[in-house]
Amino acid sequence: MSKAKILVVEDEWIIANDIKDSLISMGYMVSGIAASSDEAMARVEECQPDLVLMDIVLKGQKNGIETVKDIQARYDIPVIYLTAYDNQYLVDQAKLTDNLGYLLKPFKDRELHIAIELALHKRAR
Amino acid sequence: MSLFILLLIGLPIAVIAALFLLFFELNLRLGKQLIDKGFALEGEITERQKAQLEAETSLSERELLLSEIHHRVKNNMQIVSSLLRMQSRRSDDPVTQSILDDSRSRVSAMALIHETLYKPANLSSVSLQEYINELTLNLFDSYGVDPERITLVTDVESISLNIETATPCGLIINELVTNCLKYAFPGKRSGVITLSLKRNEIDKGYLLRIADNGVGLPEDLDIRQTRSLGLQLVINLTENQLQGKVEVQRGDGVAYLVAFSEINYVRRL
Repeated sequence: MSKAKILVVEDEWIIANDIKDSLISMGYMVSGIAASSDEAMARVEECQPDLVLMDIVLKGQKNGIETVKDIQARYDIPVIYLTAYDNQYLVDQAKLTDNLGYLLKPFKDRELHIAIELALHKRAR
Repeated sequence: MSLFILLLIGLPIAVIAALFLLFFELNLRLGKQLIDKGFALEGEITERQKAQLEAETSLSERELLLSEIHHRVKNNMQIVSSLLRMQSRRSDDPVTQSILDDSRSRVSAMALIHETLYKPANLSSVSLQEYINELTLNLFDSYGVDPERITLVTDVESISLNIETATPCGLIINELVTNCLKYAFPGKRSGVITLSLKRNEIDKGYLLRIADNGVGLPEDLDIRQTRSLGLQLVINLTENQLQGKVEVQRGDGVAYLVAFSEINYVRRL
């Protein structure tokens, strides 16, 4: 199987690059980094990733959950949320979208790796 | 004659009637006063309820703000940690990598304090059980230690400390557990690290003990003379920051005993 392409949506550039490094060291391909909802939509259209890692707090008007709704209205791409916020309201909102995981930052590389493998596996079946 | 009778009967009736009127008037006034007072009282109750609600709102707003600040402090520390990790990944020199990884681990230990603090109902004190659990999990993970090879046994009493005490205490635990993970079990050697934190009833302080059954410290190592930043941190944070005492016991492996008390500050918030 070819390397899975992953899009990282994260508003903090440094955190996004740290995640990108981790993903590369796990053997995935990073198809891009987006800091806002608009950028995320553009990257999805451009490169149709196999998976999106989505932060909830983003630059601009739309948050990560709204962005996922927009993406999923047009594409069938699995999503894992990565966020530092664990308040119940956001978790409930996130549940309403078709997502395959909710990882709390800071996460361990191993946790991220397992979450991605599970998500890709579920999607492949 | 008839006038006299009329007066005789009429006068008392008039007097009684006047008395009645007076009584009614009085009653009416009293009633009115009572109603007025009632209204005033009701108004006062509403005022007080409003004030209480305002006080409660401002308290919860304050807590929300404080929680948000801890969140942001943690996020910023997380960014520092990411920077150190990125730098470490870009280095080809194992010594440099190890220095950067140790620094990252220290920043993460401090970030974790803020993470424990922003959870609701926890704004001013850190639950050590929760903290130690998370911290040691992170350490095993970041030093890539198999928990089957090195087992960690913890015995931590339910203790909460203020942030001024919890931060140095967290760093001390970070250094000592890291030392055990890095040096006590070289190669494939397996063993046990025990960590206990208990109240010391005699001086109302706390006693932290971190021990391993590994190879032990080198014979000639004087923990007060070593150049290792980790041990220097342990000694100085204990003795100069927490006004505590450190003792090292050599035997089957090594045991560190750290006695300290909570530092008291005047409440600033």
